[in-house]
Amino acid sequence: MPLPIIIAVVIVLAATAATAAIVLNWDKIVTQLKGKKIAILGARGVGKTTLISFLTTGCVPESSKQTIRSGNAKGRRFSLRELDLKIKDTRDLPGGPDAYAEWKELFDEADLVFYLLRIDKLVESDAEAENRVRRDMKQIESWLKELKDQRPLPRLFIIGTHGDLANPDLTTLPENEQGNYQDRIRALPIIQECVQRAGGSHNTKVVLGSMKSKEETEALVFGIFSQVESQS
Amino acid sequence: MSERYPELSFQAQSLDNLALDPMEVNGCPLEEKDEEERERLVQRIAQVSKSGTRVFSEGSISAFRLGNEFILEIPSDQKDSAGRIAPIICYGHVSRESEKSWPDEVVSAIRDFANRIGRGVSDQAAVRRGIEAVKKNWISRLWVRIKEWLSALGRKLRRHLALPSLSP
Repeated sequence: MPLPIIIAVVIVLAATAATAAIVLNWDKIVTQLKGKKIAILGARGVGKTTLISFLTTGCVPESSKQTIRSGNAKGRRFSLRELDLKIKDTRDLPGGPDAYAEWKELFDEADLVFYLLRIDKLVESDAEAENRVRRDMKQIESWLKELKDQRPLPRLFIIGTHGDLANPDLTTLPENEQGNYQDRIRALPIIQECVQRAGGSHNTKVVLGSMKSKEETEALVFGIFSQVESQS
Repeated sequence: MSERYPELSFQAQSLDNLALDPMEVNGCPLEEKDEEERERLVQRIAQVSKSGTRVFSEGSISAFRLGNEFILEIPSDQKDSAGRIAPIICYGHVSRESEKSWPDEVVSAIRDFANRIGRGVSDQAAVRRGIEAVKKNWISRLWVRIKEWLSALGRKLRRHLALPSLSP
Protein backbone atom coordinates (compact mmCIF):
# COMPACT_ATOMS: atom_id res chain seq x y z
CA MET A 1 0.00 0.00 0.00
CA PRO A 2 1.50 3.37 -0.94
CA LEU A 3 2.21 5.57 2.04
CA PRO A 4 -0.16 8.46 1.27
CA ILE A 5 -2.99 5.97 1.23
CA ILE A 6 -1.83 4.49 4.49
CA ILE A 7 -1.90 7.93 6.12
CA ALA A 8 -5.36 8.57 4.78
CA VAL A 9 -6.57 5.27 6.13
CA VAL A 10 -5.24 6.22 9.53
CA ILE A 11 -7.34 9.32 9.53
CA VAL A 12 -10.43 7.47 8.43
CA LEU A 13 -9.82 5.03 11.23
CA ALA A 14 -9.42 7.83 13.74
CA ALA A 15 -12.81 9.15 12.66
CA THR A 16 -14.30 5.68 12.91
CA ALA A 17 -12.83 5.25 16.37
CA ALA A 18 -14.68 8.35 17.42
CA THR A 19 -17.97 6.60 16.85
CA ALA A 20 -16.86 3.27 18.25
CA ALA A 21 -16.50 4.38 21.82
CA ILE A 22 -18.28 1.37 23.25
CA VAL A 23 -15.08 -0.64 23.12
CA LEU A 24 -13.25 1.89 25.28
CA ASN A 25 -13.40 2.25 29.02
CA TRP A 26 -13.91 5.99 29.22
CA ASP A 27 -14.20 6.04 33.00
CA LYS A 28 -10.74 4.58 33.20
CA ILE A 29 -9.42 7.05 30.64
CA VAL A 30 -10.95 10.03 32.45
CA THR A 31 -9.49 8.81 35.75
CA GLN A 32 -6.07 8.51 34.16
CA LEU A 33 -6.25 11.96 32.61
CA LYS A 34 -7.63 13.69 35.71
CA GLY A 35 -5.43 16.52 36.94
CA LYS A 36 -2.75 15.76 34.39
CA LYS A 37 -0.63 18.43 32.76
CA ILE A 38 -0.09 18.27 29.04
CA ALA A 39 2.96 19.59 27.20
CA ILE A 40 2.53 20.13 23.48
CA LEU A 41 5.84 20.24 21.65
CA GLY A 42 6.96 20.17 18.06
CA ALA A 43 8.71 22.11 15.33
CA ARG A 44 7.37 25.29 13.74
CA GLY A 45 4.14 24.96 11.79
CA VAL A 46 3.17 21.47 12.95
CA GLY A 47 -0.07 22.57 14.63
CA LYS A 48 0.79 23.08 18.31
CA THR A 49 -1.26 26.26 18.64
CA THR A 50 -4.19 24.72 16.78
CA LEU A 51 -4.24 21.72 19.09
CA ILE A 52 -3.88 23.86 22.23
CA SER A 53 -6.62 26.13 20.99
CA PHE A 54 -8.90 23.16 20.41
CA LEU A 55 -8.19 21.70 23.84
CA THR A 56 -8.67 24.99 25.64
CA THR A 57 -11.49 26.60 23.67
CA GLY A 58 -13.08 23.76 21.72
CA CYS A 59 -12.48 25.64 18.48
CA VAL A 60 -9.98 25.46 15.66
CA PRO A 61 -8.72 28.99 14.97
CA GLU A 62 -9.73 30.31 11.55
CA SER A 63 -6.75 32.57 11.16
CA SER A 64 -3.46 31.97 12.82
CA LYS A 65 -0.11 33.50 13.44
CA GLN A 66 3.33 32.11 14.09
CA THR A 67 3.96 31.49 17.78
CA ILE A 68 7.02 33.61 18.25
CA ARG A 69 6.76 33.97 22.03
CA SER A 70 5.34 31.62 24.59
CA GLY A 71 1.84 32.26 25.83
CA ASN A 72 -0.25 30.95 28.66
CA ALA A 73 -3.12 28.67 27.70
CA LYS A 74 -5.88 28.60 30.29
CA GLY A 75 -7.19 25.16 31.11
CA ARG A 76 -10.89 24.37 30.90
CA ARG A 77 -13.45 21.62 31.19
CA PHE A 78 -13.06 19.59 28.01
CA SER A 79 -15.95 17.60 26.62
CA LEU A 80 -15.72 15.46 23.56
CA ARG A 81 -18.41 12.85 23.12
CA GLU A 82 -18.05 10.44 26.06
CA LEU A 83 -14.99 12.23 27.33
CA ASP A 84 -15.35 14.92 29.98
CA LEU A 85 -12.27 16.13 31.79
CA LYS A 86 -10.53 19.22 33.06
CA ILE A 87 -7.52 20.30 31.08
CA LYS A 88 -4.93 22.00 33.27
CA ASP A 89 -3.28 25.27 32.35
CA THR A 90 -0.42 24.85 29.95
CA ARG A 91 1.72 26.98 27.67
CA ASP A 92 1.88 27.49 23.95
CA LEU A 93 5.56 27.49 23.04
CA PRO A 94 7.49 28.53 19.95
CA GLY A 95 8.71 25.66 17.78
CA GLY A 96 12.22 26.89 17.01
CA PRO A 97 15.18 25.00 18.49
CA ASP A 98 16.13 28.20 20.30
CA ALA A 99 13.16 27.51 22.57
CA TYR A 100 14.44 24.14 23.84
CA ALA A 101 14.96 25.59 27.34
CA GLU A 102 11.27 26.50 27.45
CA TRP A 103 10.31 23.10 26.10
CA LYS A 104 12.29 21.44 28.86
CA GLU A 105 10.68 23.55 31.56
CA LEU A 106 7.23 22.44 30.40
CA PHE A 107 8.37 18.87 29.77
CA ASP A 108 9.65 18.58 33.33
CA GLU A 109 6.21 19.48 34.72
CA ALA A 110 4.15 17.40 32.29
CA ASP A 111 2.36 14.09 32.78
CA LEU A 112 1.52 13.73 29.11
CA VAL A 113 3.75 14.95 26.30
CA PHE A 114 2.30 15.38 22.83
CA TYR A 115 5.09 15.64 20.29
CA LEU A 116 3.67 16.83 16.99
CA LEU A 117 5.32 16.21 13.64
CA ARG A 118 4.24 16.67 10.05
CA ILE A 119 3.54 13.19 8.81
CA ASP A 120 3.15 14.41 5.21
CA LYS A 121 6.76 15.62 5.23
CA LEU A 122 8.05 12.39 6.74
CA VAL A 123 6.17 10.28 4.22
CA GLU A 124 7.89 12.32 1.50
CA SER A 125 11.22 11.59 3.26
CA ASP A 126 11.82 15.33 3.55
CA ALA A 127 15.38 15.44 4.88
CA GLU A 128 14.97 18.76 6.65
CA ALA A 129 11.85 17.60 8.47
CA GLU A 130 13.51 14.31 9.42
CA ASN A 131 16.58 16.10 10.76
CA ARG A 132 14.47 18.40 12.86
CA VAL A 133 12.43 15.51 14.29
CA ARG A 134 15.64 13.63 15.04
CA ARG A 135 17.10 16.67 16.80
CA ASP A 136 13.94 17.16 18.89
CA MET A 137 13.75 13.51 19.84
CA LYS A 138 17.38 13.50 20.97
CA GLN A 139 16.49 16.34 23.32
CA ILE A 140 13.42 14.49 24.59
CA GLU A 141 15.48 11.34 25.10
CA SER A 142 18.00 13.24 27.23
CA TRP A 143 15.24 14.89 29.28
CA LEU A 144 13.66 11.50 29.92
CA LYS A 145 17.00 10.19 31.18
CA GLU A 146 17.32 13.16 33.52
CA LEU A 147 13.83 12.56 34.91
CA LYS A 148 14.22 8.81 35.25
CA ASP A 149 15.10 8.70 38.95
CA GLN A 150 13.11 11.73 39.98
CA ARG A 151 9.47 10.97 39.20
CA PRO A 152 7.23 8.81 37.01
CA LEU A 153 8.10 9.51 33.41
CA PRO A 154 5.61 11.44 31.31
CA ARG A 155 3.72 9.42 28.74
CA LEU A 156 4.59 10.30 25.20
CA PHE A 157 2.35 10.61 22.21
CA ILE A 158 3.88 11.06 18.79
CA ILE A 159 1.20 12.81 16.83
CA GLY A 160 1.44 12.98 13.07
CA THR A 161 -0.42 16.00 11.71
CA HIS A 162 -1.22 17.24 8.19
CA GLY A 163 -2.36 13.79 7.14
CA ASP A 164 -4.75 15.55 4.75
CA LEU A 165 -1.76 16.88 2.81
CA ALA A 166 -0.41 13.38 2.41
CA ASN A 167 -3.58 12.49 0.52
CA PRO A 168 -6.34 14.99 -0.24
CA ASP A 169 -8.78 12.16 -0.94
CA LEU A 170 -8.30 10.54 2.41
CA THR A 171 -11.92 10.71 3.51
CA THR A 172 -13.12 8.75 0.49
CA LEU A 173 -10.88 5.75 1.03
CA PRO A 174 -12.58 2.42 1.66
CA GLU A 175 -12.61 1.27 5.26
CA ASN A 176 -11.29 -2.16 4.41
CA GLU A 177 -7.86 -0.61 3.88
CA GLN A 178 -7.62 0.35 7.52
CA GLY A 179 -6.05 -2.87 8.71
CA ASN A 180 -2.34 -2.32 8.34
CA TYR A 181 -2.17 1.42 8.80
CA GLN A 182 -0.63 1.63 12.24
CA ASP A 183 2.05 -0.94 11.56
CA ARG A 184 2.97 0.59 8.23
CA ILE A 185 3.34 4.05 9.68
CA ARG A 186 5.28 2.74 12.64
CA ALA A 187 7.53 0.99 10.17
CA LEU A 188 8.81 4.30 8.84
CA PRO A 189 12.42 4.41 10.09
CA ILE A 190 12.04 7.91 11.47
CA ILE A 191 8.92 6.96 13.45
CA GLN A 192 10.65 3.85 14.77
CA GLU A 193 13.54 6.02 15.87
CA CYS A 194 11.14 8.43 17.61
CA VAL A 195 9.47 5.61 19.52
CA GLN A 196 12.80 4.15 20.52
CA ARG A 197 14.19 7.47 21.74
CA ALA A 198 10.98 8.14 23.66
CA GLY A 199 11.44 5.00 25.69
CA GLY A 200 9.89 2.30 23.53
CA SER A 201 6.37 1.37 22.54
CA HIS A 202 5.21 0.71 26.11
CA ASN A 203 5.61 4.41 26.91
CA THR A 204 4.91 5.89 23.49
CA LYS A 205 1.88 5.86 21.24
CA VAL A 206 1.71 6.99 17.65
CA VAL A 207 -1.46 8.74 16.54
CA LEU A 208 -2.06 10.23 13.12
CA GLY A 209 -4.58 12.61 11.68
CA SER A 210 -5.33 16.11 10.53
CA MET A 211 -6.48 19.39 12.02
CA LYS A 212 -7.83 20.87 8.82
CA SER A 213 -11.34 21.14 10.23
CA LYS A 214 -12.99 20.94 13.63
CA GLU A 215 -14.33 17.46 12.85
CA GLU A 216 -10.90 16.16 11.87
CA THR A 217 -9.35 17.74 14.96
CA GLU A 218 -12.01 16.12 17.12
CA ALA A 219 -11.25 12.76 15.56
CA LEU A 220 -7.53 13.25 16.14
CA VAL A 221 -7.96 14.28 19.78
CA PHE A 222 -10.36 11.42 20.33
CA GLY A 223 -7.77 9.11 18.83
CA ILE A 224 -5.11 10.45 21.19
CA PHE A 225 -7.17 10.16 24.35
CA SER A 226 -8.44 6.71 23.45
CA GLN A 227 -4.81 5.58 23.40
CA VAL A 228 -4.42 6.50 27.06
CA GLU A 229 -6.20 3.36 28.16
CA SER A 230 -4.04 1.07 26.06
CA GLN A 231 -0.94 2.80 27.39
CA SER A 232 -1.68 2.06 31.03
CA MET B 1 21.42 51.45 13.40
CA SER B 2 23.42 49.38 15.86
CA GLU B 3 24.98 52.53 17.30
CA ARG B 4 21.67 54.31 17.55
CA TYR B 5 19.62 51.59 19.25
CA PRO B 6 21.98 49.47 21.28
CA GLU B 7 19.33 48.76 23.91
CA LEU B 8 16.99 46.91 21.55
CA SER B 9 16.92 43.28 20.40
CA PHE B 10 14.76 41.65 17.75
CA GLN B 11 13.43 38.28 16.80
CA ALA B 12 11.33 37.02 13.93
CA GLN B 13 10.42 33.55 12.73
CA SER B 14 11.54 32.56 9.27
CA LEU B 15 8.77 32.65 6.67
CA ASP B 16 9.47 29.09 5.48
CA ASN B 17 9.45 27.84 9.11
CA LEU B 18 12.66 25.98 8.35
CA ALA B 19 15.48 28.51 8.09
CA LEU B 20 17.18 30.01 11.11
CA ASP B 21 15.02 32.62 12.82
CA PRO B 22 16.45 36.11 12.29
CA MET B 23 17.64 37.62 15.58
CA GLU B 24 19.59 40.71 16.55
CA VAL B 25 20.97 41.67 19.93
CA ASN B 26 22.29 45.16 20.49
CA GLY B 27 22.35 45.73 16.77
CA CYS B 28 24.36 42.58 15.98
CA PRO B 29 22.80 39.70 14.03
CA LEU B 30 22.96 36.36 15.83
CA GLU B 31 24.10 33.41 13.76
CA GLU B 32 23.50 29.70 14.35
CA LYS B 33 26.77 29.42 16.25
CA ASP B 34 25.59 32.05 18.75
CA GLU B 35 23.44 29.39 20.37
CA GLU B 36 23.73 30.68 23.93
CA GLU B 37 22.88 34.25 23.07
CA ARG B 38 19.96 33.15 20.93
CA GLU B 39 18.56 31.03 23.74
CA ARG B 40 19.11 33.83 26.23
CA LEU B 41 17.11 36.24 24.09
CA VAL B 42 14.29 33.72 23.62
CA GLN B 43 14.23 33.12 27.38
CA ARG B 44 14.06 36.80 28.22
CA ILE B 45 11.23 37.29 25.73
CA ALA B 46 9.44 34.26 27.24
CA GLN B 47 9.90 35.61 30.76
CA VAL B 48 8.44 39.00 29.93
CA SER B 49 5.59 37.35 28.04
CA LYS B 50 4.88 34.87 30.85
CA SER B 51 5.32 37.03 33.92
CA GLY B 52 4.91 40.54 32.59
CA THR B 53 1.85 42.74 32.37
CA ARG B 54 0.14 43.19 29.04
CA VAL B 55 0.12 46.96 28.66
CA PHE B 56 -1.14 47.19 25.10
CA SER B 57 -3.25 45.14 22.74
CA GLU B 58 -4.58 46.36 19.43
CA GLY B 59 -5.28 43.93 16.63
CA SER B 60 -2.26 41.68 16.40
CA ILE B 61 0.01 44.17 18.16
CA SER B 62 0.68 43.64 21.81
CA ALA B 63 3.13 44.97 24.38
CA PHE B 64 4.23 43.50 27.71
CA ARG B 65 6.16 45.03 30.53
CA LEU B 66 8.15 43.31 33.31
CA GLY B 67 10.17 45.66 35.51
CA ASN B 68 12.17 47.74 33.09
CA GLU B 69 12.03 45.09 30.36
CA PHE B 70 9.45 45.18 27.61
CA ILE B 71 8.47 43.29 24.50
CA LEU B 72 6.44 44.49 21.59
CA GLU B 73 4.96 41.99 19.15
CA ILE B 74 4.17 43.45 15.76
CA PRO B 75 2.75 41.64 12.73
CA SER B 76 4.84 42.10 9.61
CA ASP B 77 3.13 42.61 6.26
CA GLN B 78 4.27 39.19 5.05
CA LYS B 79 2.68 35.80 5.74
CA ASP B 80 4.59 32.59 6.31
CA SER B 81 4.50 29.54 4.05
CA ALA B 82 1.45 28.27 5.92
CA GLY B 83 -0.39 31.56 5.36
CA ARG B 84 0.02 32.64 8.97
CA ILE B 85 0.72 36.13 10.29
CA ALA B 86 4.46 36.46 10.77
CA PRO B 87 5.19 38.75 13.73
CA ILE B 88 8.36 40.49 14.77
CA ILE B 89 9.31 40.86 18.42
CA CYS B 90 11.15 43.87 19.75
CA TYR B 91 12.69 43.33 23.18
CA GLY B 92 14.35 46.02 25.22
CA HIS B 93 14.97 47.79 28.47
CA VAL B 94 13.33 51.09 29.09
CA SER B 95 16.10 53.47 29.96
CA ARG B 96 15.61 56.51 27.77
CA GLU B 97 11.82 56.60 27.77
CA SER B 98 11.79 60.06 29.32
CA GLU B 99 13.39 61.37 26.14
CA LYS B 100 10.75 62.73 23.81
CA SER B 101 12.28 61.08 20.76
CA TRP B 102 12.31 57.57 22.28
CA PRO B 103 9.01 56.22 20.83
CA ASP B 104 9.90 57.39 17.32
CA GLU B 105 13.36 55.88 17.63
CA VAL B 106 11.93 52.51 18.64
CA VAL B 107 9.47 52.62 15.73
CA SER B 108 12.36 53.42 13.37
CA ALA B 109 14.45 50.61 14.80
CA ILE B 110 11.61 48.13 14.28
CA ARG B 111 11.11 49.33 10.72
CA ASP B 112 14.86 49.06 10.03
CA PHE B 113 15.03 45.51 11.40
CA ALA B 114 11.97 44.51 9.34
CA ASN B 115 13.61 45.94 6.22
CA ARG B 116 16.88 44.12 6.89
CA ILE B 117 15.07 40.78 6.96
CA GLY B 118 12.94 41.59 3.93
CA ARG B 119 9.74 42.45 5.77
CA GLY B 120 7.56 45.47 6.12
CA VAL B 121 5.55 46.94 8.97
CA SER B 122 2.69 49.06 7.65
CA ASP B 123 0.84 50.14 10.75
CA GLN B 124 3.58 52.20 12.34
CA ALA B 125 1.08 54.46 14.09
CA ALA B 126 -0.23 51.49 16.06
CA VAL B 127 3.33 50.43 16.86
CA ARG B 128 3.93 53.89 18.22
CA ARG B 129 0.83 53.64 20.41
CA GLY B 130 2.22 50.38 21.76
CA ILE B 131 5.50 52.07 22.64
CA GLU B 132 3.63 54.94 24.26
CA ALA B 133 1.78 52.38 26.40
CA VAL B 134 5.08 50.85 27.50
CA LYS B 135 6.34 54.30 28.40
CA LYS B 136 3.16 55.32 30.21
CA ASN B 137 3.22 52.13 32.21
CA TRP B 138 6.79 52.85 33.20
CA ILE B 139 5.91 56.34 34.40
CA SER B 140 2.96 55.11 36.47
CA ARG B 141 5.11 52.40 38.04
CA LEU B 142 7.85 54.94 38.75
CA TRP B 143 5.31 57.21 40.40
CA VAL B 144 4.12 54.33 42.62
CA ARG B 145 7.74 53.59 43.52
CA ILE B 146 8.40 57.25 44.40
CA LYS B 147 5.31 57.34 46.61
CA GLU B 148 6.39 54.13 48.37
CA TRP B 149 9.89 55.53 48.84
CA LEU B 150 8.58 58.84 50.23
CA SER B 151 6.25 56.99 52.56
CA ALA B 152 9.09 54.79 53.87
CA LEU B 153 11.27 57.85 54.28
CA GLY B 154 8.50 59.61 56.20
CA ARG B 155 8.17 56.63 58.58
CA LYS B 156 11.91 56.60 59.20
CA LEU B 157 11.98 60.33 59.84
CA ARG B 158 9.07 60.12 62.28
CA ARG B 159 10.79 57.33 64.16
CA HIS B 160 14.06 59.25 64.16
CA LEU B 161 12.41 62.45 65.40
CA ALA B 162 10.02 60.51 67.66
CA LEU B 163 7.02 62.20 66.05
CA PRO B 164 3.57 60.63 66.45
CA SER B 165 2.31 58.66 63.46
CA LEU B 166 -0.23 60.50 61.31
CA SER B 167 -2.00 57.36 60.30
CA PRO B 168 -5.02 56.32 62.43
